[in-house]
Amino acid sequence: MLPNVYEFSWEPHRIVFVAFFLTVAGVLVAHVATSLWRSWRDVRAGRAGSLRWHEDFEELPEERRLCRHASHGDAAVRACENGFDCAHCERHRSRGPVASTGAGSVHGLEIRADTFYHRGHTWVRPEPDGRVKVGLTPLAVRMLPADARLRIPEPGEEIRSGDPAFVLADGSVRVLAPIEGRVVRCGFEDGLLTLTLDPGRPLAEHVELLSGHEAVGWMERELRQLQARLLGTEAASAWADGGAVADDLTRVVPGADWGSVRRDMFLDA
Amino acid sequence: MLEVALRADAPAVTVPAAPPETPSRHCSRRAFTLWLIPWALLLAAGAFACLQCLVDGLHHTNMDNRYVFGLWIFLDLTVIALGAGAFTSGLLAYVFHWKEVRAVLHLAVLTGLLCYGGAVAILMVDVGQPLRAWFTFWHPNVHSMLAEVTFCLTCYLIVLAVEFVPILTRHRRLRSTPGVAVVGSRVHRGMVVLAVLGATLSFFHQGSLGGLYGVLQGRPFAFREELWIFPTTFFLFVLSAMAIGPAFLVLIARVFEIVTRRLLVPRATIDRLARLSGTLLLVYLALKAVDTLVWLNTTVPDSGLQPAWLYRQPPFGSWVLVAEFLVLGLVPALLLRRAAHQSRAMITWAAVLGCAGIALNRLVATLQTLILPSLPFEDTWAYVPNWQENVAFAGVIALAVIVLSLAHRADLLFGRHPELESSASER
Repeated sequence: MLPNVYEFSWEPHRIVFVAFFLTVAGVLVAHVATSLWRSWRDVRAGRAGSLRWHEDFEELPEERRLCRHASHGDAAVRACENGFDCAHCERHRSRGPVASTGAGSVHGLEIRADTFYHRGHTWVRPEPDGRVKVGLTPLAVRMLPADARLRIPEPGEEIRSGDPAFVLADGSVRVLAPIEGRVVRCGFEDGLLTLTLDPGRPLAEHVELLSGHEAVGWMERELRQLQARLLGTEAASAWADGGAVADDLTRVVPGADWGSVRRDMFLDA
Repeated sequence: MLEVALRADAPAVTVPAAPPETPSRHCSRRAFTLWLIPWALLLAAGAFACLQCLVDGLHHTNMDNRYVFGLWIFLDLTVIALGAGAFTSGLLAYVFHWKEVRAVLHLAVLTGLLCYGGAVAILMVDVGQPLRAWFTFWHPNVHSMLAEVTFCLTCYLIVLAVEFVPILTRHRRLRSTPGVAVVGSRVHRGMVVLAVLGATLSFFHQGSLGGLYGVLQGRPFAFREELWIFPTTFFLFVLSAMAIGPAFLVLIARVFEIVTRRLLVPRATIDRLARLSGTLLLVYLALKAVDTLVWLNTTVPDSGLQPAWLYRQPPFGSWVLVAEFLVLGLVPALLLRRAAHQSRAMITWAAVLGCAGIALNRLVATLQTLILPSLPFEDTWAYVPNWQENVAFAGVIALAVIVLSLAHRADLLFGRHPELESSASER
């Protein structure tokens, strides 16, 4: 089979046979070795979160990857193929800026004018001292049990956009950090958990975050998607009257598959 | 990581007051354990039978010098054909960009890995002398089609194992380690290379498995004319595997849906795979019909035999042709071809019939070939596999069921399709 082994001779069919399998083996070994080398380099360079996010993003259901421009009635676009990275998106650049001022309330869920929203259901608000506060959107809070306990990064820890900022204590769902930065402290605002960060770069550079009327429209669509997910459960009729969203949906709709619903809504593939 | 309450007014210590989140995507741990127990017992029995054969030899089976190929080779040929969904779907998804196929890619890779892994495991028991397994690579008989099968099968098994890495790293607990997720991501990025590699290797070993029967000049039931340097069975085996692989994927996905009572795969995926399978089955049947006619009218008479004699030896009568071409061939092919107009249940039955047809083809190719006497003074000998062979066979299936069950419970197999959860009526 191999040169110098078991009566090997340099005949064409033997050479083709050996060359074919050596090529296959070589490609396989090269692929595995390159993958391992690049992985090691990525982990060292802190790109693990970003890589994971882009891979997870592809696994999300299509309606969870909806492009912000499709939401504005642009029929030419549908699902985002760029991991919501609007800063590096040609489509976003060509479509121009979207309305990002104003405030509103969607069935009792308040959207503040001074706050930026991440489509994984977190918000960021600049503080006067240059730091930012990060928290969960009002809808996210309602999708978690009232007595939920969350794991959060410790003060001093660096987090990157796409890393988990809040993880349900049982590990069943991760809520992604909207921006990168160093955790300064955790606290409570309006009785709800928040993180204070030293941002890695100015908020203005995070063009993927939503604000103002765009955020209001996004929240309306999120609510509709949640309602669709809960179809067939008690929630459908509860929302039909146009009232406010209940404080703890897990108690109001105990029959829903909340693990799956949360993972979809929080973009946690 | 710190653990804190979401709300400031929450109790300092968590009390188990939260209502259990029902219904979960999966059954309870107790129900799952009860489901696994019989399969684990079957696997243990299979492992015992295999061990007995490996330690004492093949005299524990009903195979002998006459029946060197038995139930196990039939199993190998069948599962390798059924496992072709792995390379077919990889090629369709990564090279031809069929988006619908992505919904079953993970299932395809694991099914392929189990099919090929099971085939190689049972082949090692069949061949025996595991400590000398490396001989087949170091001292192969390059004139034998089995040399090509051995090399391609081994390489493809490794390809499937590498393809499985990104799927394994989807496990939530493993994924919480950043390095693991990155390795999965990096291996996944080279999937096009693996898909092409897998398709190339599969083409050759599926073909060689058919080819090794076609070159048996002393076995009139198997021997076929040559096309270029390969017997026609080379191409028929490749085509039949490509045709049935997608249907088998549909079947496995439907079994999951029936057992778990949830819709797991979008209808568009099922339709596209079923249509592809139906079309390829029709092409295969047409070519096989031509091949059979040439064989019955030219090859067999040229060897001094009457074609009818080949189908006069029980248990394989002329019913085999009717079953293979019509009941388990044309009927499922047409049903699968028109999948868009069928219910999920009908597509499932069509896939069952199609898979049974390919299994029958491999069974006949393996057993009928050997049952027919090749010398004038020989009689027709019957071969019935004994319990060791049957239990080892069942053990491979049990292993596949256990691994697939565990993978599904870890949410590794199917993506989340919220639209399916509200369309329970389609079930």
